[in-house]
Amino acid sequence: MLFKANRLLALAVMLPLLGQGCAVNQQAQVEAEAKTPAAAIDAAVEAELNAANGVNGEERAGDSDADLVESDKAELNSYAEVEYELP
Amino acid sequence: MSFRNLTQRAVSILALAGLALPSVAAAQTLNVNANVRAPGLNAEVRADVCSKIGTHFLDVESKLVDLRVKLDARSNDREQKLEERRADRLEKVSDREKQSDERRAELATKLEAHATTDAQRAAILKFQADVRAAVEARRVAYQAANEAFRRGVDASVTARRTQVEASVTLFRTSVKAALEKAKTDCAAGVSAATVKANLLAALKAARTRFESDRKAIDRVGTQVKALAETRKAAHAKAMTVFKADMEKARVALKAAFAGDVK
Repeated sequence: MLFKANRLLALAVMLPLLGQGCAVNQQAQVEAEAKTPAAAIDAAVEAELNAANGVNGEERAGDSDADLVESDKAELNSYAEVEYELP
Repeated sequence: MSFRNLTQRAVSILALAGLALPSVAAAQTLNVNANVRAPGLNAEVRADVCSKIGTHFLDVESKLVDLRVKLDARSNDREQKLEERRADRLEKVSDREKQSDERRAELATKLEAHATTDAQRAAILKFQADVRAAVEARRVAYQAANEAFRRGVDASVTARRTQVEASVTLFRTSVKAALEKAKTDCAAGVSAATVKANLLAALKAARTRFESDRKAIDRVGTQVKALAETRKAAHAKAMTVFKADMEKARVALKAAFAGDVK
C-alpha cells in the first residue's frame, strides 16, 4: 500500500518535470532554428522533408487496398469445399 | 457286344439320368427365382439412392444459399472498407498538409528575420516560391498516382464481383441441374449405378469449370497488386524529385547568405 502511494507520488512529481523538459527542449529547438541563417534554412528544408515523409507514410497505408480486392477469397473457396457427392 | 450287355448299359444310363434330371430341374427353378428377385433388389437400391438424392439436394441447396449470403456480405464489406480507408487517408494527409503549412509559415518568419539585404530578401522569396512549387508538384504527382490507383482498384473490384457472380451462379446452376437430373432419372427407373455415375460426372464437370473460373478471378488480384506497385513507384519518384528540389533550394538560399552562413 505504502509502496503504491510512493510510486504515485513519484509519478506526480515526475510528470510536471517531464512536461517542463519537453517545453525546454522545444524552446531550445526554436532558438536553434532562429540562431543563424544556416540553421533557419536547414530547419525550413528539414521541416518540408519531414512533412513529405509524413504524407508518404500515410499514403503507404493505401498499398494494402490491393489486398482488399481479394478479401472474398475464403468465401469463394468455400464453394469448392461443400460435399456435393452423395454420402 | 451281346444283347445282354446292351441292355445292361441302357439300364445304367437310364438310372443315372433318373438321378441327374431332378437336380437340373431344381437348378433351373433356383435360377428363375433369382431372376425374379434381382429387379426387386435393384428397385430397393434405387429407392434408397433416390431418397438420398432428395435429402442431399436440399442440404446442398441450403449450403449454397448460405455461401452466397456470406460472399455477398464480404463483397459489400470490402467496398465499404475501401471507401472508409480512402476517406481516412485523405483526412490524415490533409491534416499533415495543414500542420506543414503552419510550420512553414512559422519558419518563414524566422528566416525572414535573418535577411539584412534586398538580395537576401529576394532570395528568401525565391526559396519560398521554389518550396511551394516543389510541394505542389509532389502533391499533384501523388494525387495523379492515387487517382489512377483508385480507378484501377474500383475497376478490379467491379470485374471481380462480376466474375465471381457469374462463376458461382453457373456452379450453383450446374450442381442443381446435376441433382435434378439424378432425381428425374431415379423416378424414371434408371439403375442406381447409372444415376450415381452420371451425377458424379456432372458434379466433376461443374467443379472443373468452377476451378478454371477461380483461376481467372485470381488474375484480377494479381493485376491490382501490380497497380499498387505502380502507385508506389510513382510516389517514390515524386519523393526523389522533391528531395532534389529541396536540396537545390537549400543550396541557392545558403549561397544568398554566403557571407553570413556558417
